Amino acid sequence: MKKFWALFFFLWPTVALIVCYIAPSRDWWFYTEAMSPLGVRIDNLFYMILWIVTAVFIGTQYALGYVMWKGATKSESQPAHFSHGSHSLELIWTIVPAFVLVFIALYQMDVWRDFRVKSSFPEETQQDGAQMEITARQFEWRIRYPGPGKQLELTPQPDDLYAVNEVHIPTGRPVKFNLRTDDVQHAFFAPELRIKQDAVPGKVIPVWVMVEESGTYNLLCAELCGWGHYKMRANIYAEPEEKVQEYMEQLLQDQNDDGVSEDSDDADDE
Amino acid sequence: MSIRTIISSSLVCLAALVMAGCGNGESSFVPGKSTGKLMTGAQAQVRKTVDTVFGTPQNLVVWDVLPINDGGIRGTLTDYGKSSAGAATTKWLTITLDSDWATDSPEGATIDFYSGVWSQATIKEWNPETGQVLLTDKVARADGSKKKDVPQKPSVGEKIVINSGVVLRHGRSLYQRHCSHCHGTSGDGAGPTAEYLHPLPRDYRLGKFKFISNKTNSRPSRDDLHRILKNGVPGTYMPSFVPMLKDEELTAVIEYVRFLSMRGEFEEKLGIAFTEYTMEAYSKSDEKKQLVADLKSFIQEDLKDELEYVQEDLKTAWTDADDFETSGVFPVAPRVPDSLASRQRGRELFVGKALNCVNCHGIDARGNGPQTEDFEEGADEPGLHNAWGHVVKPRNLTTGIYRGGRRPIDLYRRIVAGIDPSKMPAFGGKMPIPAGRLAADASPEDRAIAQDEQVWHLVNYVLSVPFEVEPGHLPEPVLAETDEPQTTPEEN
Repeated sequence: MKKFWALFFFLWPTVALIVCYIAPSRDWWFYTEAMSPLGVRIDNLFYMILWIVTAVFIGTQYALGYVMWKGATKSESQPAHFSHGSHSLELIWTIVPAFVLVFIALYQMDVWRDFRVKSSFPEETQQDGAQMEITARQFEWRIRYPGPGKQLELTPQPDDLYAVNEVHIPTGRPVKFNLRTDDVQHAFFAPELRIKQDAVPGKVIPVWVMVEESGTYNLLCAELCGWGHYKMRANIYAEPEEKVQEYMEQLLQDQNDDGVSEDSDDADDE
Repeated sequence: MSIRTIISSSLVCLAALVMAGCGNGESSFVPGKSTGKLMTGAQAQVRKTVDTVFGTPQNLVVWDVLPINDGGIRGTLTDYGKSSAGAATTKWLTITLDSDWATDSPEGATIDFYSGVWSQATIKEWNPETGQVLLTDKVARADGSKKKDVPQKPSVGEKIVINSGVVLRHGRSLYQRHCSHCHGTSGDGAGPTAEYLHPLPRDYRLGKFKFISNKTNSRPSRDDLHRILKNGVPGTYMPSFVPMLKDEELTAVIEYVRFLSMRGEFEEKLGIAFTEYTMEAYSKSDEKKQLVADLKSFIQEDLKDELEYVQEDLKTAWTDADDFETSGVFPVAPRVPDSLASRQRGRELFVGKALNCVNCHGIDARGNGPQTEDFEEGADEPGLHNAWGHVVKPRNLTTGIYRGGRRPIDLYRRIVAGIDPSKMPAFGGKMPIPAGRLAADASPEDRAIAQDEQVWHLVNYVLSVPFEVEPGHLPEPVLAETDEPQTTPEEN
């Protein structure tokens, strides 16, 4: 019976490992491919940590299993032997994880810097400035683009263009935007682009992204912001530069719709 | 206290909470405020009538005379029969449909019967060319009996509806999930979240909506409701529901909102028919018995006519709302190019006596005009009161937030048709035309154009207000782009 329990408890970590191993290929659960170069680097960090954790998991579970099995096969006539306070063992399992953690902390730094530190943002974004302002609000995303041929200003301008829950960004070049919130704290979460950034009341937070492939990506709120949190869903359309220009022209036309001039009809029938 | 006592007592508490919180688990439509003021007999009659023609949230009824698109396809039964293959018998029908039924999966669709012994059957196969339908064994009988075999057959020539109410039911479940916590199950704007919101969520039951593209006092068109769902209402708690809701989901929600609105309006109008029979009238009356007898005879003799009148009223109003040609508000003249002169003229109109915008919006357009301090007749608190009886603040135009949309056409509509439910008057046709602009014998078309020009000046001014350095000091338009909005796309 003792052997049964030893094997029983060793079985579960083994099952867990197998399930985790086959989950992505069976499409049970795993995240989709990263769609931005920075996202790929973030994923690589994730994989590195995943491997470290897997090694530690297997090691500790194996050790536990070994101890259980040893206990189960030992004859009961032998008295138990208590060991306590092995100084060198304590040192090993303090110093080794400490090294691992410090290594991870240092190793991830350049990715963190490229994502978060303004002066390390790609050069293009430094020159062009922010392309749009995305304001989170209970429970939607409002986007403000600068007027045609203009730079985005921090305050609204007369010729700004507005959109709701629809972000259009050009592919193939880094794009910077300003993130704000109108009310409570929200978080800009684009899972496929591997961006998660809190929007904090009173702050204008620059974020950059580069998408290589055209497509429609999700934008969600990742900070429980109220009862309608689940509603805060928007689409990010990554498309070639010309398509974005077309969209902006459409936006401009819609926004100047006076109900009489040409093109105003489709705006009404939307 | 032992752990067992804690566990068992918390289970009892949980069970009590669950039972108290859920009631019988059914949501219901709440009667309107004015219904509650009627005499008991009148109240019962109004509620009975409303329930008959609109049903309950669990069991919706679509009143055929009203323009509600419940998703059902109407048609006629032309033939019925059974065919046997081996041991199994298959029932089949032949139907002709009044409109096209575009479907890839007819299997599982329901057929409702309205006059015979059958009430509902389920389709197994449908042949669009011959109109022949094979049925499953599931047939419900009108008398509710559940005999497995149904001896009587449906009568040829009776009216049938395929997929009756499918859109409305879909709309109802979406509405309950996404809308009802603010707007309430009955559309009374009193859902559980409502008390924390300012401005309050819309109470649909008066059939009044503020940001529409239709003439003063019209109902909203489906497009209007769609626009609000798509864009949200900035400055309020109404968020955008796109892309969360897909197109057909939006259609379903819109139809259900219209249904709720018509239901509320019907109840309100029916209540008006009973004005003589209120609780107040009863308590003041010297001949109470006579009043009760009068009510009885009113219900027996006059109610039918009243119903017809209310029904006709609703039908026209909601049908017209979707007819943009007759109900829509649109300018005859294009927007006057934005310029300092135009803005100045707009400012003149804004402060001028003829329109007196400043009375509500204030001299610096901050929504703090003298009218906001005045007591309206019979009001206990100062300020303007909207159609729902709440104090409403005139818009502060300096914020750059436009609830009904920021397009020039949106502002044009607000000015010309007003926002009737919140007392913004309709200024269409009331613009003062500067001397010399029109000849004495100018045609009505010319007059309309001149009117529109003035409205556009006002629009240009209103759009420039958020960028004023200080109140009344008009900013100069920044670039050519704002001067001629229609031509900019090509230039870029």
